[in-house]
Amino acid sequence: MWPIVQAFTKFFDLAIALFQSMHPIVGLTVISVLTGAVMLVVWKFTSNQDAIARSKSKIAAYILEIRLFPDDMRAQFAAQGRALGANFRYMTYAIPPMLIVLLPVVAILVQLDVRYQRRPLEPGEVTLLKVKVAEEVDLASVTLDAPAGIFVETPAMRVVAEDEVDWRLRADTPGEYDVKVTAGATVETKRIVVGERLTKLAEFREQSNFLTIWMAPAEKPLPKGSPIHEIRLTYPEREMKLAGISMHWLLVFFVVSVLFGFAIKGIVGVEV
Amino acid sequence: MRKFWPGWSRFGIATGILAGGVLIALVTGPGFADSKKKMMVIGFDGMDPKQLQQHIDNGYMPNFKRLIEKGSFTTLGTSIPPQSPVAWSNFISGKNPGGHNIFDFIHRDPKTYLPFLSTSEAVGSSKSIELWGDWQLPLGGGEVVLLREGRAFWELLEKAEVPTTIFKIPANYPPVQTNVRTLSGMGTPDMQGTPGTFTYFTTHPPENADDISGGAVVDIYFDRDKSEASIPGPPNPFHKKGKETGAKVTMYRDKENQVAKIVTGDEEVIMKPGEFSEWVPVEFYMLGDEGFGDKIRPAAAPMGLAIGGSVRFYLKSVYPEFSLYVTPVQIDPLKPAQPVSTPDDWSQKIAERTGRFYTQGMPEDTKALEGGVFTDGEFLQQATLVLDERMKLFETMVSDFAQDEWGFLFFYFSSLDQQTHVMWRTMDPSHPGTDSLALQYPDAIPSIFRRLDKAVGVAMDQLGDDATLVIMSDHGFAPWYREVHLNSWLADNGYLTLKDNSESVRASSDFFMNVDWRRTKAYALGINGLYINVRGREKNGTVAPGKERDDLMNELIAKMKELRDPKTGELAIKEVYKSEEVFQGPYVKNAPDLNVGYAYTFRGSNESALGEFPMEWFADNTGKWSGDHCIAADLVPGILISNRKVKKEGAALYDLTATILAEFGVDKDEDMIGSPVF
Repeated sequence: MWPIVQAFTKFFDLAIALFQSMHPIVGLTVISVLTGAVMLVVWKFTSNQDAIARSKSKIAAYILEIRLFPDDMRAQFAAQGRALGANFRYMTYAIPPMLIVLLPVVAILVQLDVRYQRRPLEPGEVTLLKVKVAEEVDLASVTLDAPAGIFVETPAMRVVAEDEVDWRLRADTPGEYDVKVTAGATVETKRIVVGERLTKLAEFREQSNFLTIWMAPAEKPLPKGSPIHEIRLTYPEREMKLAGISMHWLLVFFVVSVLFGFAIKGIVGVEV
Repeated sequence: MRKFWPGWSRFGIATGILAGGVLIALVTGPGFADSKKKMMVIGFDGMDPKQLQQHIDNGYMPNFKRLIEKGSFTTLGTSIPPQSPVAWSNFISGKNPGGHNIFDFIHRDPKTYLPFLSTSEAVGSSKSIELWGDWQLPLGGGEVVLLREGRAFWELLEKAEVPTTIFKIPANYPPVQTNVRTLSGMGTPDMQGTPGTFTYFTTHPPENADDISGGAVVDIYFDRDKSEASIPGPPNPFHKKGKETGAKVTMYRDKENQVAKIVTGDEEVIMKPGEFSEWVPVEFYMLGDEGFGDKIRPAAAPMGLAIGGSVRFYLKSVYPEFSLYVTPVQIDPLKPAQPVSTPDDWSQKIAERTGRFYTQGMPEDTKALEGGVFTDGEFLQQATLVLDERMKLFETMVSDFAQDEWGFLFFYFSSLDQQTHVMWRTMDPSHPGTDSLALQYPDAIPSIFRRLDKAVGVAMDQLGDDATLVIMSDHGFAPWYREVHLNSWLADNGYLTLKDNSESVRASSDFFMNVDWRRTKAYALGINGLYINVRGREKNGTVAPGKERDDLMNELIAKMKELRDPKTGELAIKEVYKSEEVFQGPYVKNAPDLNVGYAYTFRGSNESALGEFPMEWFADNTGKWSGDHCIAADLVPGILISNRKVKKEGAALYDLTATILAEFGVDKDEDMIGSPVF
């Protein structure tokens, strides 16, 4: 499973790399536009287009009926009931393709999340590195080695009650670094990114399972059965501003992809 | 008879003249500035002219020297009494206390004789709906009212459309409602509504824990190296008795590695002993307090309404004893629970650029030092953080102002005043409060002068020669060796009668609880104020207004000016001012009848200021608060430096107000008493 996720992640790495020198919103907009277009096509081929068109026509007709007979209460209620029924049928036709579309959209959202939700550390910024280990691990055996460029500001803070060891780190110089965490005989690493680049960031490495493989694609999961259960590093939230206005990447993605999908649905000939 | 202007009625002529007058007034009057100049005033609270001259002579102040060579350096007359809220109010309003109604840090209610804070008053929500048990639904929030009277000079600048920024000026909380960019300064409370209450979590509470003012000592214990407690927050408006809210804080420690982790809400910090954290946001929940007993005060469960603040932690020690200092909870400039700026969101805009900062009026934690929670070194560390933060804000403001075409900028620094108060003993071996530890920091005050010199350099370099630059201070400084218990002197000389004159009662009663008002003629309240117990004004007044009062005042003045310190033989009081002679304006009636101007090295004691009666009249000041300025006004003038020549002799604070308005061609209010200095 991991190689598939890796390949998918690589594809996004390459796509984002094209816009590296531009404002982050440019790459996000292009990906949103492409997603809107691709999802529209997927919708077209996974949905019953005739049935959807029929349902929408009927809904329109019933609404017209409501407006034509404003003084006839019986006709009004009957038309409203029929409109609701047609709407329900429309939903039954829309849900299967929606579920099919949802899977790739979630995978895309995860890829965007690891790039746009947070930003790399800036030189001089401090962060916490937290390691959770198995209960039987002697916390005194958990150590951290950091390369030049990352400075470990505190001794290990061993939180006995939580089976956790924490350190405060300071980013010194831009670059991508692997710090080495040792617990007894087990050694694992954690990637730390310093600088201004728009790149994928992993806030944590957890033990491997289906969900973590897909939901945390930026760094390889920890092997199953490892005495190290989790390595977590906090990156600052990315603030994306356009013309002085702060906007969340998720809002940009949904607005752009949906608007673009609606804008071209007539050209592509898709009933939504 | 033919009319002089045929066809024009008298009404028409009058209307025409009126319209013309209005037009002229609009063009030339205070409505429009007739001069698009640039002016900056930097306020260094407590900068003393003699000390400054000494540092200039020693070559420590190159930028001050450069500025003085371009223009002028003179003393600036301070207020009577020379207390910061009074002095800055003189500057803000262009009046003396008779015009702005601030006479001391504290005033008294003549109907109860009880003291209250002079600059602002908190008014709670008066209406609420009763809910179950101890709970209520307040209808509307409470508010804080500024008690300073008179228009602030920036209101006149605003009317004349002069772009204006006022940064942290004292005695302006809550900030006067204008469209001018202002950030409130001295007088701005913490989230508990106090001038600043720190929290000290410790496994080893000091013996004087209950006596520490300005801070709460919380006794904590660790279980598996984990301890939970709560940072005290604002009173809960949903609780009928205003029960204190709390923000849960969890402390972990690693005894072997001497490191600790502090968790509050979603925020986590890891600290070594001797370190301050960055600003950490904290939240206080208004609903759902479950109550876990007294030892550990819990945070309320996150069930709903919450208000935020921000704190910095200082880890003193981890093991064998754990001690963690928490700053007073600040009104978070990013999400202010109460407005600390105008426009309301200006504090947020600043903090987004510079990061969070102290919003508390006087952020240097002198109370933690005086209470023994901070050592001298720790206090200096905290005070340096304050100054670093202020310098960053200063550079941001000056840089913005440099881009502006014209306008006015005021920027305030508190560091020198606060540190000179508590660090005078570090440079004065004769001070009764000094010791070998204090004398290890002889550079504490000179180093601030040097840093403030850098600020002057930044302003000069960024603004160039075209802008008018003024450096001013509200007062100077003096050593405070001897405390004067003036109320004890009044009691022992028959002007004030105590219900119980025994030593034990005199030592333990405060707020005048031991005073027999029906047999009292005069009482001292505040640092410099002395009130006559006037019949018809005070609740139990005994002295008739008019001749009886005048005679008593004259008698008191004569006797007080003869009061000698038995230890040194020196006169303790240099001057006593009658309010009606030195103040003008509608609020003279609220003033103390007399203002006591102590001699150099003397000052009224804190005990006397709050209505206590120690047995002796004088005492050595052995506290950390070793320098002061609440003495005779002519002994502690401020400074006035500008890149322009000051022509006026004997300039005073209110003259600067007139100077600023004149610079922009704005008419001053009729009751402003100053005149331009240039």
